[in-house]
Amino acid sequence: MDLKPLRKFFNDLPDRIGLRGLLLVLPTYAWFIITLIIPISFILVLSFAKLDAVTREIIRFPVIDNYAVLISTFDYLKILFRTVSLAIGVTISSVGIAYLIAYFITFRISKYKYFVIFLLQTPFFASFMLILLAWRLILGKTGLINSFIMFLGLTNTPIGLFGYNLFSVWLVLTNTWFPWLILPIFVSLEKIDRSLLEASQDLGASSFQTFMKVTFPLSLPGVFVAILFVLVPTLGEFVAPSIIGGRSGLMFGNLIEDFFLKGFRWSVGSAFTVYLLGIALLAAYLLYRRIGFRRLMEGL
Amino acid sequence: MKMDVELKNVTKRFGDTVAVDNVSFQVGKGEFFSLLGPSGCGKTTTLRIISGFEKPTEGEVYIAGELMTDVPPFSRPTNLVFQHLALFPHLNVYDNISFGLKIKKVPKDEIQKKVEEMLKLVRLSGYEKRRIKQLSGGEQQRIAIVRALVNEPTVLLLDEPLGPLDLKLREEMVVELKRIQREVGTTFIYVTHDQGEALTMSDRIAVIKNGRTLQIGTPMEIYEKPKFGFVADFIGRSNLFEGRYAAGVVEVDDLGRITVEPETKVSDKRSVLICVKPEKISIERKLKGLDNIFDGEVKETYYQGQVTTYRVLLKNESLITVVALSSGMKSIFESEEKVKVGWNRQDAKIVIKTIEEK
Repeated sequence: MDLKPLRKFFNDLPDRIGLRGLLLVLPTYAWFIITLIIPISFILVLSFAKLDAVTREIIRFPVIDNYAVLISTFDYLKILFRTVSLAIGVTISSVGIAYLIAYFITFRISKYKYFVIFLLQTPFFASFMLILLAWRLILGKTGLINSFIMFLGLTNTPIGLFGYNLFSVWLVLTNTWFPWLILPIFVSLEKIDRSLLEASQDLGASSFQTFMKVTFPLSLPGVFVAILFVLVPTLGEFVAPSIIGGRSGLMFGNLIEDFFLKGFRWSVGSAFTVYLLGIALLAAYLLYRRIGFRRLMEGL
Repeated sequence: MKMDVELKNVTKRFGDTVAVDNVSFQVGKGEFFSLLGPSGCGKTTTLRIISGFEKPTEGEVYIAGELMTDVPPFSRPTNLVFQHLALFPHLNVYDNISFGLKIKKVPKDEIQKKVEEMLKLVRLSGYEKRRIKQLSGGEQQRIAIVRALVNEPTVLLLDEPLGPLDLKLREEMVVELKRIQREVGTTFIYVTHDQGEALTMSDRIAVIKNGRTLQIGTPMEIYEKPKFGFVADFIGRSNLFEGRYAAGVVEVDDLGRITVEPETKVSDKRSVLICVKPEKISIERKLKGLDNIFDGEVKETYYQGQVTTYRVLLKNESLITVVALSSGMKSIFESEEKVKVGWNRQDAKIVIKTIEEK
């Protein structure tokens, strides 16, 4: 076998910067393509296809019937609206709590700062499913909360609020998400040059004004990272609703789940998935517009 | 003269360390006052106490005649130009400068006018929309100064603002700062470790070491009549001789007698330190007509264009520094040459030894 061309290739490599760059990113790109691009392309193609109900072969292509299903069915639109509202609600509450905690740690704790951050990572060690099942026991008409309230004699019938519903989904998701969000917000708060805060005070701003005009704006990159972090997964959430959502807590993710697993209506499920992807991308785009891509990356 | 700032017996302790040690001074209205000293001497801490970011452990701070020791920084009529500028990166030039004015709820058209005036003052008109990152070091420096100045503080405090600039820019900025201060008339308190800056710009200087003010005076007083060996040495290179004083003559071991002007305040047989400035020493192959003439051997020569600096070894093994105008010399002395150095009695100043050695 003639090894000369191979030898030449490796000898030239140090000088061929472009090629070296390409080779360096190739593994990442390959992974990216295999795990992301290919499945999504699959879904994309499927969403425009009409499948035979029995054989599941493509009988007509392309069609937009699958996309029409969402628009023409009011119940589905209702669920979409409910899902987006919930996602926004969870984002607001979990980012809010995370911000408060991150702020407190950054500015009020000096000695054991990083130790506290470390402690706050412990929720990650528990499985999400276990957490959900635990909440299932706590919530619900015969759950811990209601039993306790009735035991105290405050009411004779269980309070609906603490049952399996949308409120519970919001509660559990907020509770599960906020530990994850503390870190990006903490990082961006920590990075703020303290002399900027002093300068603000020197120029006459009170502590509150300094927060509004200097601290908060400079912490936005971290906040936006946190927002993206919660918003996108929550939009597609289907596990939590199925465990503690009950009937009123049904979300868009569940619809997609049903289309794929229960009705075998893969093409419709794909269309719905594309809708969800579109919304997530829209959200990311709006955030990008607000803050600029570079600053978002700096926040990461 | 009305006093704008007065410190009375201000001391600041951080645990066991004394950063500021019983400091008292007054700064008059419209004065350019400098706190000069080496790194870590407590001058920045003193400035922070005046601006309100540190509370003194003991002592009082008066600004414009009012007691302000416990007043927080946002309520004081002072503004601080930070060492690393602390310009807000998320705001443009206009928003940075107008920051303090907006807090005070100054009407918009007035803000506009003031910002324009300030930018004109530092010759940066039209820069309103620029982002901080786009500015050069000197430009950022000037924006930081007017951001503080636009609030018309009673006292402007500057913390080594020229540190990060290159030499040429620093020289320009020194002139700029002096011009701005003259035009606006605000009292300036300026902290630096660079004696050149302090001498050029200040009306008065306070030399600080280890948290104590060693000497406060005009640049000329500090330079010509230093009261401590440290002050003499810190402000320009000095030649210091230690010896015993007796009626107008100081006897220096192994060297000989240095004639000085008689000092009534020094008793005979006292150990004193004499300071002779390098530029006051004449250096020639043959010398006469001066009160003090000694033999020396040139050890090092530094030709610096305008001046030439020599390091000359004397009989008592000490090295002195002599600075001579290059043009005034017939020839530049080389190493190993034997020369004569000399100075008159009025150029040898008696200086107390530093406090620790007293």
